[in-house]
Amino acid sequence: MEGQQRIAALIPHLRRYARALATSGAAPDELVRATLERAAQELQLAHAQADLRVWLFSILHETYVASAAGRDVEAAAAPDAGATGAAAFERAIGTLPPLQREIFLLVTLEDMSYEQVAKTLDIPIGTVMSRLSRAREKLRLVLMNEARLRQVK
Amino acid sequence: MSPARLGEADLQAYIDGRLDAVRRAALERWLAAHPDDAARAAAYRLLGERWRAAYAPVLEEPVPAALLDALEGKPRARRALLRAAIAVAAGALIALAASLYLSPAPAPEIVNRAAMAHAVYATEVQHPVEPRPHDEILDWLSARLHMSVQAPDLHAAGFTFLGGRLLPGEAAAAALLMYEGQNGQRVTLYWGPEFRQARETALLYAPGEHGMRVYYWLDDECGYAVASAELSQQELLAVAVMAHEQLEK
Repeated sequence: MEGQQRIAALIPHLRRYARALATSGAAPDELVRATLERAAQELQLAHAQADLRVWLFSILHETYVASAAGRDVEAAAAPDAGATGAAAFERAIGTLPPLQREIFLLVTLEDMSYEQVAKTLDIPIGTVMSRLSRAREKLRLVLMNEARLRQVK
Repeated sequence: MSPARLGEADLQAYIDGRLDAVRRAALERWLAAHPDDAARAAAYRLLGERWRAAYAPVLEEPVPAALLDALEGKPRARRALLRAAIAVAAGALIALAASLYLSPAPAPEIVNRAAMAHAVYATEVQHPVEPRPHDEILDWLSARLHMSVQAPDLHAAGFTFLGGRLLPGEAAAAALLMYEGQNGQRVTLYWGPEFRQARETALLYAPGEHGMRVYYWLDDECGYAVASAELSQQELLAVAVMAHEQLEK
């Protein structure tokens, strides 16, 4: 009961993350649902976790990687410029490889420490740093380009 | 001292507020002398703000019931099967299907829903409730629940009404009203019209684990549940009695 409630409190965060990952194919809530199903099966493990959030997000990460969306190495950005709002964010993040998306979003939305990100994604902390740097630079360039395109129009 | 070159990892840690004071000061000196890098740092910071703002509303959305079911380990297929069985069967068959597929629940469903809703929303510091004026939110919830949703006055027990939000139920919408005590303790009052029953119940207690306690009662219009993870049973009882008296008067 207690483990479930602590997990339930994190559902809005899992949903936000899944939404921002902008998986073209799988619906974000489907990703969260699969994550929660697995968490429910392994509920005994939840009690042993020092960091429940890292545990849950690592399950979501594995689910994401196992899905087709997570395997795409470089999803093509939809070229329908002119759209704004969430669509622009989805398009921009769609230009990043899955691992860079995840690192950028865990740091940005979840405010995770680099060590927590490394544990969540099961990668060395040095990889977190280098990919984070690449992700930000790419997003900066993509959004700058978009802004320029919009001015020209 | 002046750093010979910009440490890329330091720049990232600077954006995320994770540099110690000495390295931050060094990095700021570098940025002051290198406008290109300073512009890049500003752009990175802006990225973070834009992403946080774009996806903040997701935290406000009611959690779909299907996700809570997944967490409770209710597979979708079995639920679909149960619904199909009920649709085609009548009388004794329904009872049979129910005994086959529904495990005996230790607490009524309204208790689980109220406890789950409390766990999800009472822990939200910034946005525990819909950002709307109180009378407006009660009117809105009343319209959605097709019944008069009222916020009982719990000041005598030391609790102030914060507001409310709409929740999905299994068959109909539900509402969650939130109250806060002087020390920030939260109490929620769950309204679930789908739990109404002709025979009114008394005020009942359902102890949860690890401090979560729920008092609930059902009448012919709605099911009500008062939940808290922070109050003692006695304190919660006082609050529940107050709410019960005002809503059943």
